[in-house]
Amino acid sequence: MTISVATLTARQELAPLVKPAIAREQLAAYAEASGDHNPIHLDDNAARMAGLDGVIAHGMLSMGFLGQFVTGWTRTLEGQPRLVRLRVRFSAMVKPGDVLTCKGTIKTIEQREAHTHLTLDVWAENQRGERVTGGDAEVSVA
Amino acid sequence: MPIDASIVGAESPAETVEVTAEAIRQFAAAVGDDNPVHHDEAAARAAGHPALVAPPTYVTKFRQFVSAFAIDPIKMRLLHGEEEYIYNRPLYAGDTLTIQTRVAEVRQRPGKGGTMTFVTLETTGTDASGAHVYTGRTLAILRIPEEGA
Repeated sequence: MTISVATLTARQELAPLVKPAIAREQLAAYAEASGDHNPIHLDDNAARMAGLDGVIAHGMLSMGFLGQFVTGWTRTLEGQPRLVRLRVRFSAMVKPGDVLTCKGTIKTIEQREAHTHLTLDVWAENQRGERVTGGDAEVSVA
Repeated sequence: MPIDASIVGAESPAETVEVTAEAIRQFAAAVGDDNPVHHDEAAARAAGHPALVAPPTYVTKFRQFVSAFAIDPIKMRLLHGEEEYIYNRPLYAGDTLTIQTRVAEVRQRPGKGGTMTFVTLETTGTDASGAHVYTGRTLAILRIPEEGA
């Protein structure tokens, strides 16, 4: 089942993506896969030396969740959707055990020659409803 | 070397990197992204792609070290403020990219307990045909302690 972009409207909400609770094993796997071995994500002692209570998740992991969220949504669109831009600001720390939910709304829909250009507001919030990572995305649908 | 506007334009040596199916699957699994286009080549082809598709933030792997921006992340209280990717096309298994990172901007303003320094690093990726594939921008925020403090 795919959705035609013609049926989308500005301010429409995207279906949220609830991610499993972040585990230390995921941080270790992400460090390995991304090449970011900063010990503040892996070792509580190193994190304390940096002034933290304990390890924190890679900011880029929550951006990865938002990438999954946006491209997972674009898969449901008819035509050839393509992510053309993703930008986020890291505003709060994410710790092991946190459950992030990715949310988004359609900001603008613009018809440009052979494609439709969409801008989205996207963000990840934790189990307390605090926005930890947020920004915007642009999608082109040919 | 001081971290100030004098380092704008400094760049890393260009480097060639390979995008592999194994690394795509590993990255998608670490993020928990189960979209089949990142795991199953047949699914990627069925969706109109020539090969396995890299997840959008896969390019974080390609941030380069710029020697003019050699910092002590703990002493300078490094924070990752923002990250932005602009894509001309998706990245695929089998792509060979030439990547290079440069210091694009440095802004400074006084803050509590030291100067706040905002450094934007820009990485570009170009494919084997010379086409620009993506640009990444990282905003690093530093709080450099005052001299003698």
